[in-house]
Amino acid sequence: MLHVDHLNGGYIGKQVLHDVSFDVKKGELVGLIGLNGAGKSTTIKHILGLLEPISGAVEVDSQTLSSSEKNYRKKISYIPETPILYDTLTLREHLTLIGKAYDIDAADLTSRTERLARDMRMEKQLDWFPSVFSKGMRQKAMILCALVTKSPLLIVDEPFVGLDPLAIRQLLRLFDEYKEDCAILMSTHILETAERHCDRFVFLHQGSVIATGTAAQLRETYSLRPDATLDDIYVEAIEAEERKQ
Amino acid sequence: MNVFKQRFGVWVEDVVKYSRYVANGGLLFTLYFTLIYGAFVYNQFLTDLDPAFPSEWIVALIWLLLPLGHRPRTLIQEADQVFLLPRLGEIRAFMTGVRLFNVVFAAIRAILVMLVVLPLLVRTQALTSVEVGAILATSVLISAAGRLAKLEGVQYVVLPSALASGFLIVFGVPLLTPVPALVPFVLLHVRRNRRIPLLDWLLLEEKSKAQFDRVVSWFVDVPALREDVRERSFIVSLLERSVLARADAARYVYGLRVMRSNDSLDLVLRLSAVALVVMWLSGGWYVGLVVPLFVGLTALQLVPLFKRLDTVSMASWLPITRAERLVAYKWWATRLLFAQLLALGVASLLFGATWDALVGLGLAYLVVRYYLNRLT
Repeated sequence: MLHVDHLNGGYIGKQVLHDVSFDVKKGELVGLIGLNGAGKSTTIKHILGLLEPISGAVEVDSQTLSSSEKNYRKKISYIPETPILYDTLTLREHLTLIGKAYDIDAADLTSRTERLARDMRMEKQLDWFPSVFSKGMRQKAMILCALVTKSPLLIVDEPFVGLDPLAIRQLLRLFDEYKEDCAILMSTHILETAERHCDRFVFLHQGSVIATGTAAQLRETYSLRPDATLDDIYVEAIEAEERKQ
Repeated sequence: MNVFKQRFGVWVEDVVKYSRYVANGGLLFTLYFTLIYGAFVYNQFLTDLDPAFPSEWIVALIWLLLPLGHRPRTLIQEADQVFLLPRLGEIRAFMTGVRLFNVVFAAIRAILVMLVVLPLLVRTQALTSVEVGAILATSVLISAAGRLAKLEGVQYVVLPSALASGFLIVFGVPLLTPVPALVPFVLLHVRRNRRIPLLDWLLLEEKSKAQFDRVVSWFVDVPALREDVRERSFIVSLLERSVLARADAARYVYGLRVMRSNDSLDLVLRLSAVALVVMWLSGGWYVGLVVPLFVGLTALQLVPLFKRLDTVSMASWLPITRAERLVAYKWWATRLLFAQLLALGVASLLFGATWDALVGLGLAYLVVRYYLNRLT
């Protein structure tokens, strides 16, 4: 579903990503793991098409940004780390906007909205303006806007920030449902949750992919005992990389 | 280094920087012409003024309004909540500096208002120069007290004094008007803040900065602006049944924004109302030319909003291309501006315009096209 191929990129005058390659297949939830400044958000911005790559390619469901910007973007939905909502639109109007942007049938949009709002306990807030939302409600609103699209690739940047434990549990349940027909790339620091819910991991360090695979494969790669946690694996991966350098 | 001096230095740098953009922007012409036309119209109005015109009542009313609507600058920054906290007790000089800074602002505002109002008073009342000086001093005092009251978080201290000064001028004792205007300063001194009220001053600074940014954004791009939102359920529900139901995503989002933000529909209504007052004051003198001036002023502020809306928004990752967003915003801006143009054109005819109405409409059309073409 997502194919990142030898991606070099970053900001003007500052290359952040070096030869980044990985895939996310349909039915997978892949965790993008890295320290602060490892390049997770930059990778996500490149996939979203918000940054121009220096070289390399990003393909989503066989579409590239250069072939058709609109079709490419329709394949992706996104939950940013910091919620970005329009102050002048209610939550329901945000969802209508999403429906129009992704060409979702009105009846489908209504039923998906009702279901997701119920699941995320946001039914009452559908006709509220974002200015009166709490931090958690804003994050839930972003989640609703992304999940309602049912687009083939869902990109999630630190989704648990500001959410209460019930909402986190509900979100993970929704992710499990979502990935049945789609793919999810999730950047997070919460390794314990990632370990329990992600099918595979991509470890980023200083803008390069240092390891990919399932938890079992990564334990094997770094010769760790079978009960080693994702934390242990990650620390070992970073130390191995630093020793190599 | 003195914190106030350092912050004041940064403020001066900002003002100089933006003033340069504004002066070089080439967009000032509409503003210049509006001011020049306004001055001509006002002069015409003064020439024909009936000596029985109740100018002293106007001054009394202005004194009631002068303490209101101030947005004091405090030069406080968000990081001060952490880094200035340990020094709050020892930076009295900062508070004094901020107070003086705001008094100067308030004085300038009062003087500008009185530059317009005093000729009215002088033409209808027999005033000595000392009395004119007293009236000017009263205005400055009331304005400064209003601004300081907001800074100190003290309510209801200025209005009674303004009312008392107003009574004095209405009853023909202008020389005594500064006396009640001085009283609030005593109260404000007693109830002044001894330490910087960090959160209150931070809020005041944010509001004031937003106002400064809004004015600057007419001329240059200031992306991070907050906007006030009004629900307007009646207009929105009407539009939802007609235009918005069929609109694409970009037109939908900008439509709602245009209807609900105080920077779009409100702006058109505000400036149209002012245009009607100017038409009335002009007494038919080239009244048709008011139309391009005010449509131009509206376009001057409305068109640059697109860049602000487009900088940080959800639309950047949604399947809505920039070209679609641009077309959608132009669609709404064109309709708002042409609606204003037509409404003001009809009003100019009612206020006595003849051939100048046609010239005004033609010029307004060109002005709208000019500003919309800048939207790229």
